[in-house]
Amino acid sequence: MSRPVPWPWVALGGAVVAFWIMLAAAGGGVVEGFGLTISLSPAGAAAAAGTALLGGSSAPSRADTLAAALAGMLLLPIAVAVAASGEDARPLVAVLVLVAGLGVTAGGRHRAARLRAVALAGVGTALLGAAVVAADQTGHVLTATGPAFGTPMVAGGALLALAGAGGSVGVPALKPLLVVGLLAGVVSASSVGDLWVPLLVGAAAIGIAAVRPAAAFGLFAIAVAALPGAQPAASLIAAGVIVAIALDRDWAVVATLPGLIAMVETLTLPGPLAPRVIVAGTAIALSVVIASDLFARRTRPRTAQEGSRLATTVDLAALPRAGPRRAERHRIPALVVAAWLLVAPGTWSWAGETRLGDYDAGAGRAVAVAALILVGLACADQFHALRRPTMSG
Amino acid sequence: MALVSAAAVVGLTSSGDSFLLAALLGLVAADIAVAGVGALVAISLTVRYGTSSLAAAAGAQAVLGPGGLVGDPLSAASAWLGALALAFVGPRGVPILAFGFAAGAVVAGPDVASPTDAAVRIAGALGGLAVAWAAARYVPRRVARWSGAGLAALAVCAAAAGRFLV
Repeated sequence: MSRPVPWPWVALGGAVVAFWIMLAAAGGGVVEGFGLTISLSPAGAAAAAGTALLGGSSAPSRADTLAAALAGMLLLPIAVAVAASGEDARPLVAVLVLVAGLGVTAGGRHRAARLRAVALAGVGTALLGAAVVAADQTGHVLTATGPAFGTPMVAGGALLALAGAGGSVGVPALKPLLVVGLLAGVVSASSVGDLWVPLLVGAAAIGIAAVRPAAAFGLFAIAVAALPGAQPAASLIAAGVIVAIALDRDWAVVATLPGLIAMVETLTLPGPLAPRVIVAGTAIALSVVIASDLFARRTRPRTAQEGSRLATTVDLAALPRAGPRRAERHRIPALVVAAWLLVAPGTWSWAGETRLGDYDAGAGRAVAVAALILVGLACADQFHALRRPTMSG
Repeated sequence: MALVSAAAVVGLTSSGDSFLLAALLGLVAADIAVAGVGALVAISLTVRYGTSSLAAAAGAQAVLGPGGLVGDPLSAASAWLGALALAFVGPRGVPILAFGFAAGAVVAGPDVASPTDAAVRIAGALGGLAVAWAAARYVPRRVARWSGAGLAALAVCAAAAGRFLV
């Protein structure tokens, strides 16, 4: 059994995430110092919160892993916030190089997976860095204005997302790179054209869906972002992926549900048909592959319970065991954010206009009623336990 | 019981999102195929009303009339097909409540703004419950599941045809 993560680390991670979330909720802010004035947008602060969430979701055990985790939790979020706010992205590239370099020494569970993750991070950083550094006409910002800069940004973003989405199987210290990859992919996907990104990135997502569900949805978020007006939906899907990787549970991809619903609304908007059909087909294929692979009960034949081959039963009894264990208390902030995202995604105003207000009302009502029923049942159990005759009574 | 109550409340009050309701129904039945049928019905609602919001669908029904009775024949048929699909895939026992209410909301679930709307809503919920109960009681499960899937797929096709062809 692994040792529990120290409470100070949990508290530090929670405090950093809470700071960035409060900044996002407050509508961003302006930072002045060293002769510089940097305005942080709500989206930038939210991206920083996601980075810190992933940084804090690793459990450092040695000095080198602690350095990597601290860089991911404290330094990278600042660079991400600045770049995502439309400021100079070159500091982000520099910090990326540092985090990827620390990832080489920070270790991972399997040597092959570690090498793969570090290689992906290296190539992704190189592509993204080249695009940012070369974009001197736009002030080195993280927004592509055409396919020449957009293509390496999307490719680099996808590779960084894959490197970060390796989770505990790859290099835990590289997890925060997921946010950078998704950010770069989402903001630059539309500059490449609305057909190739959904087609290629969507195909890659389906290809890895069975082995890396969260990473598949991460790539899918980039594919969705290529559609006109779909950046808010893509941002919410990306947020669900970040939460799933922070929780390190495959089932946590359910956190992408609000983003997928917002995507459906986007598909009904006027625009070219082909990319929307590709995105819809990819969404259906991903959902079928991941749902049947993740949530199907594996302990009995598919036809046994209901006498139908269509039945794919969910093992509800196994759900309590699916949550974080006691030793994983550093995942508490991620659990809180996941619950917030699933119940009230409409309040994530920094993602953009997602039209999920009605979702919030229904989810809130459902949770309230379920909680009331659970409390009522618990009280009834307690009442019957008190009235049960005992030897002394 | 808590899951059934949550899904029943969402279906009965038409609050929230149809895809959220589909996910809840899948959890109630502990079956991904049921969630898939619910998602198909949600797609049919989205195609017809232009949004997946149940509240928006209820609002439209309050203004225009029950979904199964107004509009072009194909759109009205999509409402009936979707409601039947949900009623067919419901498991036996208490979960019937959630599936019956959801079916009623699809075919006759207006926002309650007047006594007439309330009467339509109650009639829809009771009708949905009756069909769901009868399907669970008399239709073999295997037949009910495949029928539900087929009806849901037809609901999507009818809604699309009603919106884009008529």
